[in-house]
Amino acid sequence: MSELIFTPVIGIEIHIRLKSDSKLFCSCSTNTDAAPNTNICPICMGLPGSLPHMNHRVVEQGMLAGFALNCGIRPKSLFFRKSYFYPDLPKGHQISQCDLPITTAGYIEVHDSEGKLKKIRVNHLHLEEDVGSLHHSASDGRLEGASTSYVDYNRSGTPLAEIVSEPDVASAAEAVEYVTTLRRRVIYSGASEVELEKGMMRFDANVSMKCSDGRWGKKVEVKNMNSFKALERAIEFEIKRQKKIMLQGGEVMQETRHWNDAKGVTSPSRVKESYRKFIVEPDLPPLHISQEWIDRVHSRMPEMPDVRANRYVHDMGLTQEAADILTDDRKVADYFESCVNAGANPVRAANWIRTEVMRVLNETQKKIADFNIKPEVLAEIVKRVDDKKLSTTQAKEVFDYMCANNAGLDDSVKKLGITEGGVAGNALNEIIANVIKANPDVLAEIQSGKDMKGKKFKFLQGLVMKESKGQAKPQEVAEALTAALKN
Amino acid sequence: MKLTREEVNDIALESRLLLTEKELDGAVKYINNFLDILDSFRELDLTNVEPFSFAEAIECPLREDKVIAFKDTEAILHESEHVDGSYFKVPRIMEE
Repeated sequence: MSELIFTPVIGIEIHIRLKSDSKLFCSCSTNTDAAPNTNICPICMGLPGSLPHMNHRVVEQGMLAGFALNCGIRPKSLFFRKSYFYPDLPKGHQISQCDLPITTAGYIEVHDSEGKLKKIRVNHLHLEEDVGSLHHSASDGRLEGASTSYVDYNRSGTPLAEIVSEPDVASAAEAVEYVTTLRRRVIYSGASEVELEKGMMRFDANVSMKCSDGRWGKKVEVKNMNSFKALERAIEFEIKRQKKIMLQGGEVMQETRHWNDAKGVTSPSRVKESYRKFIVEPDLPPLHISQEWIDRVHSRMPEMPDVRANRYVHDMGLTQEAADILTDDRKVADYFESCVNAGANPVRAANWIRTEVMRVLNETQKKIADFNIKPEVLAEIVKRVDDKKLSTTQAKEVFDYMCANNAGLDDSVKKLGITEGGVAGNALNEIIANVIKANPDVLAEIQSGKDMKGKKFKFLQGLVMKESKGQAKPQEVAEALTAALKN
Repeated sequence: MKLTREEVNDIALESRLLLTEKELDGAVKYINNFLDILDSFRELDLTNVEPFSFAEAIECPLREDKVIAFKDTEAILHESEHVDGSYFKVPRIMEE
């Protein structure tokens, strides 16, 4: 009997908060950090007589996100009411585009287990409104175990894009690459900041298993993942669980399961599967998007990160790893390119940004837009190192000084007492003479031949380097010191 | 297309309606009669006919993305009897 082979079949649904100042259908602020229930109005609270009024910018954000996923835009799309009863939804229905969405199909490329590029097809992206947030205990914790939940509707009606993939994902690793790539591309498009820590991206996964003996397991929907790690762990857990059932000759039940991140398990969800209860939203006529509008929004699309990374590798000689790191954040990539345009060697500029700039940003918790050293200035530092006006050590010292004191390049060089081009010749000989003069006992020891291991020599060499403030070349110091000791 | 007694009962529960056996019988008959009428449309060839959703050929009106805060959020809170501070209170809902 041959060994059974199981292939996971995974589809992923993603909700992303689109960037806008006001909500999808009303003029309330989208700031969800405000005091509870302060950004609400009769429209997002579904009070009688209120009518939804579509946000122009959100339509454009939806288009941009669609372009980022290689989707087309539908000239006519429609809104529906998806009815369900839950306290996070004051209207009793969510306005969503489910059946006639704003985009047509698209795709995202990921690497399969053999490292080859494969397409994960995106069925569509549609616009919908978010729901309110439920709090099961107050900040002071006094409600723990109480019979009440608390509702804040500030989030209710904020704009979401739901992105539905085809079941083309074959592993947890592919799922993570799919969502990471998708997130990066959407951020680049400007459609959303997709800040994970603010819950701007949430995932559901449909997982089923195909067995080499011809059996197909039923589809299980896993909900409640809100980080890449949670998505990866939940899928891995579900693959193992379903495989075990099928190996034992059992049948996987079609159900919705809830991911418990603390316990690292999925468990059957208590929420009863409901009917698809959709009607056309009578208060919102069809959304028409002209070709001219599509073209105008499309012209705002920047070069996508993977395309950009490829260019860095092929045209600038960067490693794939460096190119991926630099293109991860569009603003960092822009900074890098400004630096190169100002004349810096691309490979060395990339190294500086990856090590020094990112270290300082990390230490100071700053974003690159707020970084005090402008790309043109970093380019100048890189050039001075290339021209040997500054040693690498000096350049880093200057860089740190500039960061710490918000100072200019030339001022910092001056303040640190650095002589561009280094300490050599007579200046170096003078330092050596002074060091020897100040250490007669060390000199005596060396001359008596006791310094067999050269420790005393190294001691003097160190003093000379210190006196020259690191501006002398070690090789030159050694030669000049040897010559001085012979005299 | 016909709905079963069970399906109609489920829909009633989703709509927060408790029906007696007699009412349920009536509802099943009423809904299925209506579905029979809809079934008669199947005789028509609708291949190139777009689904009808709006009587008037109007477009979705759009507004500028501008924040205009609603002044009387307190009044909205007072629409509910179940308020604590600035939160609405509902029976505890918790997913395991």
